[in-house]
Amino acid sequence: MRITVTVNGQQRQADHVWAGESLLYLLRERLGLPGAKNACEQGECGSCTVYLDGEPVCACLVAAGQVQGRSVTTVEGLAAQRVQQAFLEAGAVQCGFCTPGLIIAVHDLLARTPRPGDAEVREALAGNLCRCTGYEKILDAVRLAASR
Amino acid sequence: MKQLLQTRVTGGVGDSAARPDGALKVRGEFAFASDLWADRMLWGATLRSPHPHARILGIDITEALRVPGVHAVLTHEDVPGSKRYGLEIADQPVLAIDEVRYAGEPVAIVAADHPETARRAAARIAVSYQVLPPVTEAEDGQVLRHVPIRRGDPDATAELVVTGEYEVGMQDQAFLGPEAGLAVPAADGGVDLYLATQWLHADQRQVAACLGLPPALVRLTLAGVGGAFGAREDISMQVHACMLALRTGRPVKMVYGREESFLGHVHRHPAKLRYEHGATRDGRLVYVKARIMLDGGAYASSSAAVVANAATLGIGPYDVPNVVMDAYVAYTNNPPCGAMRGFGAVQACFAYESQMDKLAAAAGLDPVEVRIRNALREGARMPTGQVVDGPAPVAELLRRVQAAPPAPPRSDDPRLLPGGVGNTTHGEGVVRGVGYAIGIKNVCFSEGFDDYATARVRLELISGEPVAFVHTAAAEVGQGLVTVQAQVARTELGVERVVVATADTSVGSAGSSSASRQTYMTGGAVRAACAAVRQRLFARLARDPAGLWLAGGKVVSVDGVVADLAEVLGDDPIEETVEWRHRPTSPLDPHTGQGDAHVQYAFAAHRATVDVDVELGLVRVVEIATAQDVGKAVNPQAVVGQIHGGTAQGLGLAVMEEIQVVDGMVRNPSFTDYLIPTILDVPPMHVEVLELADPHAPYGLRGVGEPPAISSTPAVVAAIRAATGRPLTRVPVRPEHLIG
Amino acid sequence: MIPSAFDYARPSTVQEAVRILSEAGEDAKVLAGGQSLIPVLRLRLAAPSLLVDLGGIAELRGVSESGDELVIGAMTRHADILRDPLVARYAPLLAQATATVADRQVRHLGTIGGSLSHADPAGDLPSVSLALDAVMTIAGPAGERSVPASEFFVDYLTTAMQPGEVLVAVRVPKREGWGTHYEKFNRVAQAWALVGVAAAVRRENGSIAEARVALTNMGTTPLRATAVEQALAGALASADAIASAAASAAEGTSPSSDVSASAEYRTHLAKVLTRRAVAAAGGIDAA
Repeated sequence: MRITVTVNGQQRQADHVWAGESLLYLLRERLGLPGAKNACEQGECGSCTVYLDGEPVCACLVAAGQVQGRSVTTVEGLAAQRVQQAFLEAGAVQCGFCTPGLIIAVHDLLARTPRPGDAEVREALAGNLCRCTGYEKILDAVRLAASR
Repeated sequence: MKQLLQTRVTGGVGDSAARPDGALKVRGEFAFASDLWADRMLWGATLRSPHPHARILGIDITEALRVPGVHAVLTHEDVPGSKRYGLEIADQPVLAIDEVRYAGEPVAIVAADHPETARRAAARIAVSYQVLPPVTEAEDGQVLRHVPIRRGDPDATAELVVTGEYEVGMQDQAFLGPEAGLAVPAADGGVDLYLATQWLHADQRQVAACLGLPPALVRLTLAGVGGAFGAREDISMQVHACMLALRTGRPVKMVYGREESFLGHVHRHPAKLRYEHGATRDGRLVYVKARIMLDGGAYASSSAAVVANAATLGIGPYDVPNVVMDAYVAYTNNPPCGAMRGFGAVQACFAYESQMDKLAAAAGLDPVEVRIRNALREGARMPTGQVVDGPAPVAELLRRVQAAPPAPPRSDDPRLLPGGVGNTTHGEGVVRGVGYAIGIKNVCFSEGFDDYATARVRLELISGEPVAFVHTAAAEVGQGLVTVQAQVARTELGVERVVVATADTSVGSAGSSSASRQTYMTGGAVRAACAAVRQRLFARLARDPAGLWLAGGKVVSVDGVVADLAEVLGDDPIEETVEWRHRPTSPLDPHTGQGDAHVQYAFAAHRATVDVDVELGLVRVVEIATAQDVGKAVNPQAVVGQIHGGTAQGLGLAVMEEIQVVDGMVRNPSFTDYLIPTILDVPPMHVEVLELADPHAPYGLRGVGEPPAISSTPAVVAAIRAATGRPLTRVPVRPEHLIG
Repeated sequence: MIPSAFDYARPSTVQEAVRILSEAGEDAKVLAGGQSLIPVLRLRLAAPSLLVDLGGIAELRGVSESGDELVIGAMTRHADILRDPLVARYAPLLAQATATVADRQVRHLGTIGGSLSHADPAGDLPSVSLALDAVMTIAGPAGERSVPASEFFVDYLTTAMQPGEVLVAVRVPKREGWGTHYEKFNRVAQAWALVGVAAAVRRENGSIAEARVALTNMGTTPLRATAVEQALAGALASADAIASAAASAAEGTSPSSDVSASAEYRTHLAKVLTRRAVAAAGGIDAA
């Protein structure tokens, strides 16, 4: 089937999409946007987190058909760089596979809660697994971004 | 003139220099192996054995070949070269031949124009199996290696004796980026493979042998690696993707899904350990007797080295005059086990640290005090007879974590109690416990292995500015090695601008990004290559090079600027390639286990504080303090990041992480059922970094990656024991171990 | 990575959905938020020939009042439940349990109707619907019918809905004057419940007048702890009375032993969590 979806502000179209493909596959393999990552494809790890109509979702748990006519923002399309810069400065990036999903999740958290406490940060990021950092520097990054 | 005499350069060794790949990673533009794409690319898929042990009576690929969109279906008959590969012993078939030895073993591969087509076609391959009984207990398996160690009097006796039997479950590295690579057939009959790995040249050697090609025709380039932790040291999809690419004449991409990833790489060896510690009444160790049995699974992988670590490091960082150690690893029909962060030292540490707590109780001593009384010191001998000839601040590290600020008192915020947002604990039945542990790890490859790293460094003027180009085959797996290479070049060549080239096999081997060795080895190689460049540069000056160095883009001496680097370089860049080795090691005596087998020892200590809801069996780790000697913090921010991450993986092994294998079958190959710590499960971590230089190592540095992953497990378990009074002889500790 | 092939339909009314489903028969699956179904499809535990996506049916979303009931559209997302003032006022138990469902990303797509229709006994909302005496409104070829939660969950991943039927709404009695609480035990934040307990308690003077207690993951369906409810009815609102009643929480249950926990341990958890949930719901200090 044909899918028409607004991605990072641009209307995009993909043809011959299998109904069973996920938004993640659509983005990565058909629209050339590999920023959202394919770590578990079961909705457990959050590495594929993207905005769908302004809300963070796991792109692997969205069927391609469900995004027809809707709006998606991926890490590649985030205009503001405050969160990204804080991740760099705080040393919150190691292998970086979880990073795009975390950037979206933190971006969303700070949009809702500009100065979150640690418990709020942990609750908000509980759906994003990281295997390298032990999360400590990710918390540092969120605190740093929130302070700016 | 004074400022010109500075020897430090911004972003050099000792600075928390920024990652060169960081900006791409935060923008989602860094190309991981699974992100690769090529024109006319096909997708590969793997058919795996559903049985842990079976004879293959026949494989019929007819139906699979009929699926529209399928371009190739290959079996063992299509393997052009060596049918088997392996890191130490070539015992693992590229594709199963007449027998499958574990559930998940690759049997056939498919290339098709869509990943789903490839998978469906694989499902239509008809394999006829005769199911055989699997060996599922290491005790019943054929021994792959036995490492005995004998030191002192084997019949020594002591006033205090504590014994224990311990068990460690099968942990998974659980990196986030799945196994992936893109193989592109080349016009010269060779193949270019872009992939995520820990050791390009070990892959090249094995892939070339299996393809029946000279290594020069099998060119490997490192793509983005989404974590490794040991799991990428063995071959997974490498040969398969190349076979499919060469057969179809088209690029072939293979990406494992999560379930396949759990089946497609080696795991940490499950272990059963029996220990007897004898001590004087005041808690000084007289002897340790131990027997360690590791389950190696179906193929050898790096088991022989893992078991040597378990044996040689098996009594911990303690000075013990009499040791009888027997460590074994055996083949079974369980999933193959191999490298994982800590590499044999983890299993032993859980057991010997549990024993030290038992000894403390028996001697009526504080757990930290009993460890300090027996602490290894510089100049002491290991059970192998090897003298510890560098700093060994075991007692100091223990004192540091003991003196660290205590964990905050129990919170009233239910989100911070055991159970978190599930609200299961409202403070009732919650008991706090504190536990300590310390571990020891070898750094670099041991037992006489010819361990080296290669670096190529070129110093060149670009637009009038000196730029250093660094090229190695060392795998950046997230740890920050690309940063370290640039830092070393800045410090050694006194230039700001450094370009670290993509790692590939067009330069010599760097060895593996494992054994906590890569900053030591590739850092050492880059440093040596820079020194060679410097020597040639100074030779262009008409003066004695003694006393010269490079800083701020100038050649300087104590008297001031000697020459401008740009002028000396001119249009004539200098390039040097150096193969660099650490000091040699020796094999272990096969009967006594004596020998100077290790290059360097590294130490870390942990204190863990837990709150346990003893009625539910629910544990929350509320704080962990770590102290580690790193010799020299080449990049302090990255060092602390390694300590955090390793500590968290040890926490995972303590309370949640286990691949559950029943009758040879993995029961939980998903992140739904294989639990790894979330941000709600890892507590705030207090880190103290010691920098006691090792005189034998570049910059005095000590490998950093593994030590923090070793002692956090026993520290957490000791804290749970302190809270609950339960013996807890197995990790991971499950909630049901804590109730009833 | 990609589930097996299927056709995809996106009706804009319930009638259209029912018509499509009826024509497709047993091979069709309803796609709500997809947070349970898509993983199932990807693991090939189900292979429908047709997916009917309810996401285009506006009438299925939202919470409204109807007399002494809340009417919650089946496609109301977890995130909507969490910020809905009517739910907060009349069914806070639902909001509390919904907050523990998976993670934020999943709660932005997952729906109450999807959770209930999926009927996973480890899901949090099925037991909550039991404890709240919710009634399911189901549309089918013959029109609408109502099924109480107590009859809705038939077996593991199986409800009373027939092929061609769609869950339209969940009707929840307003429970003013009741105290409620949900206890969820999981080993890692955001994981499935090993055991959960939903409790609703109405107190009169110093006694418990009525109690509803429902168990998550103690059998192939969510279960009412009827022995506990009977023991609590008319009992003193005391810690001792609650502890004594909670001791029978596992009566009539058949918890599984699996990779996550043994049946014995689940039985233990059910008793402890029931005591804690009832005490919290009743505002009684359990210590």
